[in-house]
Amino acid sequence: MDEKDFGKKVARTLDWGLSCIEDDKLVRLHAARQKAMAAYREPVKVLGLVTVSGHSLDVSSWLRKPLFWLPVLAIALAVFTYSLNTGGDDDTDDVGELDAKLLTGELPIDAFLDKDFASWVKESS
Amino acid sequence: MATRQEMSDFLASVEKRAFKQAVYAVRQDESALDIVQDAMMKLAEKYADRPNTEFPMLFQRILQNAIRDWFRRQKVRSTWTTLFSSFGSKDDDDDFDILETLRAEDTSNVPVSPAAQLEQSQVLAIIEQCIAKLPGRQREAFMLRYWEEFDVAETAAAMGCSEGSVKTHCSRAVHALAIMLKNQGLTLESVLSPTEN
Repeated sequence: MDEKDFGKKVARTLDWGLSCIEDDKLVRLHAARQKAMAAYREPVKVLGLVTVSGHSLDVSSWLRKPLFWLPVLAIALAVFTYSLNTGGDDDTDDVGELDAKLLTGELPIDAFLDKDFASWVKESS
Repeated sequence: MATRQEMSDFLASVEKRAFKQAVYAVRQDESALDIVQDAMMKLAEKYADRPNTEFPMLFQRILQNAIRDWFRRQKVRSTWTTLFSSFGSKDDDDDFDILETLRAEDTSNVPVSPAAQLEQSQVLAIIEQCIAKLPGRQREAFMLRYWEEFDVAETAAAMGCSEGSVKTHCSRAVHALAIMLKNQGLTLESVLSPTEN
């Protein structure tokens, strides 16, 4: 007898044994199946996609999920950080331009006579 | 996508075998019933959107995972039981006799002689006892290949292992069963199923 024959023969005996399961166990199994079917949710096809839900596509349920908000917050944080970094550039550019003009001597002579300018130079040095 | 009726029909077709598989693994009827119920509920709740051709493999995977979870919980439970054994009374009955649970009652309507039926029920009890003694993976592979009639690829998918592993587990299971049955004085050549009488 080869492995397959052996396996089939054992399986046949086991099948026969199914008819010998006690009635109380059968009742419990039936009840378990009923309970499972009570938990069954009819799949719904939305836009060609199947979802396991008793309702149509429910956006509000997604809004309540914390995992939905994590990437949204991450994107918002990135945008905020980027705007912080680029927001002061105008001032930085003005100061840089002024420094460049100082060094290259492009500033008009009147700038050096300006008191505010003189105090600024003192502070920045 | 399976219909409600297909789901119900599938569960009805597998519930008895699933119960038996769980009994062989955990050796307790009550726990086996709970395991089967959990597996059925999981399939119905989470996989209703799958085609019914996938149900056998999915259900077996869920069932085996549920059995493994049961063992993990038992391990944790027994650790605490051991720690507090000096304070409490004896817990589970360690003298559980699988033959008392699995001894076949003559409820069959198969038209065979009483003597043949008695012999068959004795053979069944011995086979079930031997199957329960197999290592978990060997038992799983054997049951899926020969009782659930999965092919090697389907068995591998259900067990989450390679096809080579399935063949190895099956081969070892068959050899182990043959030796155990021989030690019990039983060869399957001498076994007749009721339909062959």
